[in-house]
Amino acid sequence: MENINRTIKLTISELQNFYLLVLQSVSNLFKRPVYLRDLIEQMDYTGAGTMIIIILVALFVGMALSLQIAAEFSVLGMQMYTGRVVGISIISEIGPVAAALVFAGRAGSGMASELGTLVLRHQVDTLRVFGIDPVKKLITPRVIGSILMLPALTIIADMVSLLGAYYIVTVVNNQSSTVYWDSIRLILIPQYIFSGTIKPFIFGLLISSISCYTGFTTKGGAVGLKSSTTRAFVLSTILIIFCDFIITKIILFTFGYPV
Amino acid sequence: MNIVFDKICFSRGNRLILNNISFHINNSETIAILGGSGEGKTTILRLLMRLLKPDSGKILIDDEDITTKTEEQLRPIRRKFTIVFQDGALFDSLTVKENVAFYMREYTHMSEEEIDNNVRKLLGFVGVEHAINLMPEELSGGMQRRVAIARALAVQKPLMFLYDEPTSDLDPFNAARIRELILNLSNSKRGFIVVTHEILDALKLARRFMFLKGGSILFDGNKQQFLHSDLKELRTFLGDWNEEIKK
Repeated sequence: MENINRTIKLTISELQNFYLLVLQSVSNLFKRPVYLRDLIEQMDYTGAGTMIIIILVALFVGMALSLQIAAEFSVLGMQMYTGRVVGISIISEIGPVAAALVFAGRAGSGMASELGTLVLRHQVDTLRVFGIDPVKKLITPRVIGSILMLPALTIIADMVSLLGAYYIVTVVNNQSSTVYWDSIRLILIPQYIFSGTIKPFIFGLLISSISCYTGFTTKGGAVGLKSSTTRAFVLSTILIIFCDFIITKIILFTFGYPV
Repeated sequence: MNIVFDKICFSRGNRLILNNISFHINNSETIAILGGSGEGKTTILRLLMRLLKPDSGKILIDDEDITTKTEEQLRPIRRKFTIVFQDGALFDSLTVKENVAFYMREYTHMSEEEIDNNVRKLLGFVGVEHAINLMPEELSGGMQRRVAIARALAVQKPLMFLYDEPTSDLDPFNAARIRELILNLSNSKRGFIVVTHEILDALKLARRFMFLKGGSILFDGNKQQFLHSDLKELRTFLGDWNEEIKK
């Protein structure tokens, strides 16, 4: 019983620290000094650094999805709906989630391991000794950089996925290019656009804050660093999927089911 | 500047590191804190900089209790000190020059030319000017320690230096150079605290000695008292040095 009490207390205390860190990192944006150079560096690392992987993943996800859907729909004689179903899936669900998962694996783990190393090598303490707020200098640029870059990466991922699907639908399955693009145009309604654009902002905040928090609280040398990096990725992945479900539910509740 | 540790307790998990320790020091003193590994020597430095928070007790700096202060309130207090960590703790993504210039870029309005001149002067003082454009990973342990000292010197007007195991893992030649630097940097107004388990370092550098064992300060006195103390734990710690002292 004592162990359970201790675990509950520790979990609550850790959650409290996490929320404080997130609040502090975002509110720091409105306080001087602004570490613009660090923000640009982080945007480059998280954005440009992740782009190629996201493009590759998005391309093959779009192609595989359209291949599967086109095959199933041809049995039912509904090939003309392939573009519509693929488009909705990509724009509102698969695009944001796939981009976020790649982002968590590449940029999130990188943030956790980098911050963990800085903590273990006393470089964060050195900043504090110099009177520099390490949250402002190290975490705020990473969180803001991620919030800005993940939506941009998601738009690129959506476009590449749709192009991959276009190739499969028109070249492999010999369907009309006009029908495909018309069906994509028809699904560009506020509900799907909102669903596809709000998610990356939330995922960006989630991934960066979880990764920074786990990195910042690293203890115990190389083993601790390994555990922080793994924890950052696992927690981010679970929360991305969970939040995706919640956001979709809220959007459907708000906008209703499209006719 | 007066520093007072008043009944400080600090534990990590279930392990009590410091048990009700109290002492008073002045920033002009040269102090060596000695003890075996894991006895809490470094913890004292980290508590003094409030990088750690004690479980109980007060740490007063010029009568101001720093244990209750926020990170923002601590900033001006921390700038009264400068610390050289055991491994140097250089920023490994920055060159030697950028490491030493870091504080100047953050807190002064110096031009690039002025910063460059100051960095060269500081690196020249510690004898590593030739390494100005190297990355920390390209430096030897001794050079990293000297660059860390140069970076610590860049802090404007520190009132006291803190050194955490400044010569550990260094060869005798480099260790002697670091000791010489530490002595050159202290003066009648600016002292230091050196945390070490190297008895030679302590004897060559300090005038006041503290010995930590089992979470308590078992000894606090001057060199003569330190060398001739009857304290059993201290004699055991001094080991082979007992013979040297008798000679």
